[in-house]
Amino acid sequence: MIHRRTKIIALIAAALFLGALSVYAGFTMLLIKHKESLSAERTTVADSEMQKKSLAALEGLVRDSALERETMHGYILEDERVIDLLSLIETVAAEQGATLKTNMLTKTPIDGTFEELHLTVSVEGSFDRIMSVLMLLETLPEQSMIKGVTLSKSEQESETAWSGIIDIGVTKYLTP
Amino acid sequence: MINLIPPKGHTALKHEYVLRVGALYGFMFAGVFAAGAILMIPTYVLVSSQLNSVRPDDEHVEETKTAYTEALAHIQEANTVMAQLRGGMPNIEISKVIEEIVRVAPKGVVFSTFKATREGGVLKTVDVQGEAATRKTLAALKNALEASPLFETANIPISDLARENNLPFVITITLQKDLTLK
Repeated sequence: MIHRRTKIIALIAAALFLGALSVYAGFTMLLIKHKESLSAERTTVADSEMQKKSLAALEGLVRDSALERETMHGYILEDERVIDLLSLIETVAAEQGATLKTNMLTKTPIDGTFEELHLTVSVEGSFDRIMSVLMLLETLPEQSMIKGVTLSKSEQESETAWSGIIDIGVTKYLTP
Repeated sequence: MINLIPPKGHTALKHEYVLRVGALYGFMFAGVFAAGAILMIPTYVLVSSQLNSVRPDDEHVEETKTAYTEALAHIQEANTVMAQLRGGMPNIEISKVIEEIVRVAPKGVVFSTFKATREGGVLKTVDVQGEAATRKTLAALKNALEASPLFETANIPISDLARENNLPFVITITLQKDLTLK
């Protein structure tokens, strides 16, 4: 026969043991979780530091290349400069003593960023003057390409009478 | 030593003894685990404070991310423009080609038409029409064109050689394949 008091003591001991074990296990789990979180956060911080360095390098590159990027952007025509370009082409021809007329102006998308402004101009004058106009059109400040040229001597007997059709493709930022 | 406790009482005593020893161990281990748990508190506090200190500021992280995206967009845009500028370079200027044709033409050749069209941005052939004073002049023009470093061939249809004097001609001039703008 086991004494009642012994039973009570044994029950209290068991309860205390289980309670202490639970607390200990709980704390251990919590600590492990916190340590894992700490490790993960440290990795994040290290990544963040790397990203900060990359960002600094990238911002440096952006800053250092600002002028070059600005220059490059200048080679691509923008909507608000189309009229200036047409005026420039007409001025170039007039300065060379040739008569220039813009016959057609269309746009063709190139990709998601650019489109091609297609100009067809007719020019009249002497051969040398038309050639001068052609040469100047090949060196427009914006990125452009002479797509096609047809130069014909006019039916008039005059040696100086030539006419030409010039197709010009100018790269332009896509109109939004 | 004589044990006077009856066997039944002996078993009961043994059970009580085991229970008491078990209870003693129970108290002891409870104490050990409780002490262990208490000792873990400073470590827990330390780890928690470290965790709070290293946890990055979300606003700052977002700012960095935005700045990075913006900077990257600038560079990507510049790369796109650069690729477009590089891709849009002509292989040769048409004016140079026409000038070269006129330059190499012998006396007695009068041009009336020049037609040059790029295919996919590349100038491959130029069609020229005109009139040559004599058959020899036309042959000299063909030779002169083919001797030029810009041109590969100059094709004149046989029918254009029918007349002896004042020969109207149509020449298709093929440009050298490896021409690059200089």
